[in-house]
Amino acid sequence: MALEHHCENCGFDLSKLEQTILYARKGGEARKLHCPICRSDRVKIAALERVFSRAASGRWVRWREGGGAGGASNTITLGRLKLRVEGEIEPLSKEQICFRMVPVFVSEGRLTWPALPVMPEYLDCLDPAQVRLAREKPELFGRVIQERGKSRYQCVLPLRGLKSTEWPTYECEILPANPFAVNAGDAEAMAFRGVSVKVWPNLRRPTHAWRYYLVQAGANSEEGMNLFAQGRHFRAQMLVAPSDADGRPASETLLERIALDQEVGREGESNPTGYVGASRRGRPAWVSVEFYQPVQGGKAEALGGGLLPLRPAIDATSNDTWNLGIDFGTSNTVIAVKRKDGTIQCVAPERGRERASTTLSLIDGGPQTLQRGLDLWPGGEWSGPFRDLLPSELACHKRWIDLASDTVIGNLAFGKDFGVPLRGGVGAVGSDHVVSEFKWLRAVEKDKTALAQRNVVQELQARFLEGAMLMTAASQLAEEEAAPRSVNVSYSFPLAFDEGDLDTLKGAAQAAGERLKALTGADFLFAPPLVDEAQAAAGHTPSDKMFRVYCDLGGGSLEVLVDDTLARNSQQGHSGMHPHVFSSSIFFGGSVYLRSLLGAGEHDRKGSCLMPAMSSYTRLASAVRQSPSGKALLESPHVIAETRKATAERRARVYIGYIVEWVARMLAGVCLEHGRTVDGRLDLSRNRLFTLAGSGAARRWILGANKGPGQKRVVEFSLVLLGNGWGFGDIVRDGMKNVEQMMAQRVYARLSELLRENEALCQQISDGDMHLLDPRLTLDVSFVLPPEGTHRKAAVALGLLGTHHATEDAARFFKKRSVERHGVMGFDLWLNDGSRKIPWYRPFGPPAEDDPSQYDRIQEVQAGAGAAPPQGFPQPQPKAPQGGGGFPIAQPGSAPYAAPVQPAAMPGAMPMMPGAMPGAMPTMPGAMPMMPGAMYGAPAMMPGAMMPGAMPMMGFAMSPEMLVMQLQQQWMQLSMLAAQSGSTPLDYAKPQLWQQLSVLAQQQGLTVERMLAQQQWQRLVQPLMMTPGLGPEQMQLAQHQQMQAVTAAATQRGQSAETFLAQQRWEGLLAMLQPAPMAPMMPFPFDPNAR
Amino acid sequence: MSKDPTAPPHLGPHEAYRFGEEPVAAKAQVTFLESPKVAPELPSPSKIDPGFEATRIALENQVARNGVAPLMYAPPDATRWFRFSPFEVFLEQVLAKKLSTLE
Repeated sequence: MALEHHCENCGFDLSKLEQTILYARKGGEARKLHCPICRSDRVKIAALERVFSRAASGRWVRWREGGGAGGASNTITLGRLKLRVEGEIEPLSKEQICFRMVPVFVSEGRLTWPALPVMPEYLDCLDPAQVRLAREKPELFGRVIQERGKSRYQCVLPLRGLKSTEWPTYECEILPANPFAVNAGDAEAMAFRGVSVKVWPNLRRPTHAWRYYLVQAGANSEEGMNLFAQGRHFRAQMLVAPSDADGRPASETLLERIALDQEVGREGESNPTGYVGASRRGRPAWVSVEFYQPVQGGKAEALGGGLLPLRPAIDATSNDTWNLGIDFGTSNTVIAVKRKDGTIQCVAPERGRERASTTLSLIDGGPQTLQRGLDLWPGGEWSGPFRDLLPSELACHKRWIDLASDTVIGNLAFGKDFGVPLRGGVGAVGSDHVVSEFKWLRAVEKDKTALAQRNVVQELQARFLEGAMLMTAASQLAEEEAAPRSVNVSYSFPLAFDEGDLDTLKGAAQAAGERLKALTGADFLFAPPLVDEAQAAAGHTPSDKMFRVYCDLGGGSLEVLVDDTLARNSQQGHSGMHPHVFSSSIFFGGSVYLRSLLGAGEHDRKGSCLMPAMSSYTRLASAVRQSPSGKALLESPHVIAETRKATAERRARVYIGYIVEWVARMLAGVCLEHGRTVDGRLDLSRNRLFTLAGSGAARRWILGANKGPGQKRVVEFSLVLLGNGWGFGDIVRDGMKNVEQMMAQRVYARLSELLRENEALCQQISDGDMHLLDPRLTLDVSFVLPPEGTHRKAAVALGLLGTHHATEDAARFFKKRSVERHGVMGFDLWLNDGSRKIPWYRPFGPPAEDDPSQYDRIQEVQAGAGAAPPQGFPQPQPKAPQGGGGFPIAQPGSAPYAAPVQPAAMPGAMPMMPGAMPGAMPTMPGAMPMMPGAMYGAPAMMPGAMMPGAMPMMGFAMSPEMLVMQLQQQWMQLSMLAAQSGSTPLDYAKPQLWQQLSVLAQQQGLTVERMLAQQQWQRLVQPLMMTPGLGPEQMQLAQHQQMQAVTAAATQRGQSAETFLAQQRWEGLLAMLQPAPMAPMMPFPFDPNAR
Repeated sequence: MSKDPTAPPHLGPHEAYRFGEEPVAAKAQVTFLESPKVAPELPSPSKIDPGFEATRIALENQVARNGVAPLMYAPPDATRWFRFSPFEVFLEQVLAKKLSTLE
């Protein structure tokens, strides 16, 4: 006994100290006790563990039974020593801290009950270690026993401060599900059925870093409505431990209570069927289910309840990085994930019950049979035949038009206040509660004018991206052990976006990334989009046809990309040409057809083709999502009015028909107009229809390509249909096997007609043997079906993660794309500025840039080293213009060049750039900006013996700075030579420097501008690499941002990034190219008095 | 037309070739010369937009709103391109609205 009140340092027994000490002031902390003998604070007084201050109220309590701290009501007596507490020490009994009755539930056919019967506000009265044990092994605590035919609930209560041998057993009655039944049956008879208590997400290995959780408690069936039986109130709350910065809980028993305060209910009814709560602060430790009965005075008295445990999270971190690609669509979103083994697949949570559930059921009351209203719970399967379509919609319990503020929307809790209506916003859920098509401000303007502000739309996008990423991560972590440290998210955009649209999306992605970091602990890095959606899809599907035509018909936009396969593969004379022949995009997606079915608006009954119950865009979009095909949608008696089916079909024919027309006109433009020089001549080498065939002396340009065993001449287009909008093509399939076949057949027919209408022009397009309408030439329009196990919508998300984005292809094909849309005019026009007539097949907008460096290489091979510097850099020797347009062009009779040589190794991304970085250095320089014309007047070449700064033969590569220094040292000679030629020393030195740089670049196997650009890039990123503490991801991000800045600056100057960098480097070297600093000239003879 | 069929690609200066339609003056007026023929089962553009009035207005507004195309060989303030083709403008801004009126 003496050991219970002693000093652990000197062994002094404090109970022998006859003294009364003020131990704690009212509402204050207890004083720290010291040994009066040795002054040590290692004083152990066991009785003080049984008397404690309640954290929430500041009141001191002691256990009424089993404790050893008797004495006055405000005194703790330890032998002769008395510790006084200001205020009263309240006696507390186990009955005071526990519910009078405990409910029992039927979960998956078995009885389950709370692990602890304690009211949540008294959890701090239990032993913390035992409370944790109750979460880990709940079966050791609460149980149901049978006594004389009656079931009772029993639990050993590990009261704080008591020894395990002193822990009392609490026993109480079971709360009957039906309050009007006789409370004498067994647990089976009294149990609640059809009730669910569930938690989202269901992390296989919960970590402290993940902080966002939802809890829902409610009825699944009519039987479960006993929760809300007359005469009692049901409520639930979750208990969450306060945590440190890393999410580690600070206590097991001092928990924050978060109410499940969002009612969920049945459609059209005001009474709730359950409640949802959200925690942003960490994983709940317990869910408290509570029943109250009203008493006089408007108060409620606890009737029954208990605590349901959640397994504790662990303190685990990983260094994993996930790579996600998101195709944020107007109507549907698809997300792809790249797994560790390199495989890429679309995210399909809980697909077909083969995948782990993202919802953790603490009580599973069976399937949901109550007809629900707005269901925002984020767990469950997604839409579509492959269950990988996430509706791009946000539903909210409040009307969206009442929330038209980014701040208000930003404060909503995902899955509780708002969410993605996975199970459809059906029936009485009005369109006021669902917002869709928020990818486009212009679409929101049509649908919900009050929300049509850019900051509001950006917030909607941000919250959607946040929700989509949370659902994706939850899906992955339901199956995977390790949570990632970072998540790289690639996304794209439709070319129909204007600058504002793109900025909005970028802002939304950034905001979503910041929120996700706080909610999941992982760094979500949304890299700024570098590719549009059609290009992203293009990378996913290899081709063996001359042209791939990607037609991405989404909910909002229609993108068409004509891709030159031979240019992509650097084959048959197309090397150096950018693969993107045309890349265009219009806001003419599937929603155009859907809205046409609504008539002029939601109240236009005359123009509408829909059944009255379907008269909102939201409901119609939901019906489309659930419909297996466009044809099925048209034939559904619940969607299209019987009398309006012909009109609905007619509108589909016009809608699809005009898309066919648009595609056919673009392909005709490819045939009729490409490869024209400024003076209107056709350059076969630039025309996409011509290929280099044969070998040796027989090598020549031919129209089309030789294909097949018979070497049949063919011009091939292969259609790749992407996007869900093509589902409406099913309506007008007219017996074709699939929409792809229908489109190929119709595009072919229209393309043929358009070419025949321009017969004279087609006959000009000839290789001397065969022209475009020659019957020996086959015009082939084929199609590609989606790969097995995937669908038309998946290609963009999959393409975003494709290896082509991390390879040199990315630099070649994606950085030099057209910054604008590029297609054909479509209509014959007359413009009054200069009275010009523009035929319909003329292209508009700037095309993607070709790669002149490959041409340079051909020249190098032919003429040896010393390729001419590009325009804008000094020309060692002025060249007479060749060809009619002032540019080099092959003339008849000129010495034939050898066939184009494939570059052995295309100089790729900058050496300092991580290969996988989307912002890898562009590789194809555009023409350099114009340099001062005086350069062209400089002497072509210095006589070798006198050439200042001549490159000495040496075993190591000189730096450009060393070359500059050499020129500086010979400035006197330069000045004299410049004076002889009538120019300035600086102008004279420039071509010398350029020429030496050329030699230097040649030694490195680079063009001069590429070498300069690489050097400039290294100078830019060098400080980053020297920055201490930057991890690989941060480094990657910083470099990426640097590249973004470079690209933006280059674009402003109308240059490619490489040209811009090279120009900067060149200007930097020129700035150094000044006379070498010399000692100040002193008067001679030396006069010390002279200044 | 190049008469030497063995000539390799001439990937010369960008400005040597004809690409997109020439820059458009700031206040250019557009006239649609004739209604293009479309597939016989489709209503012609001139039926959907008689006189092409709606398309013309939309196109001129679009040209007026266009930013400056970032090309190096034209003075920035003088370069206005068709960034949308007339056919695209017709689809986006005319047909999309008129589709609901087709019976």
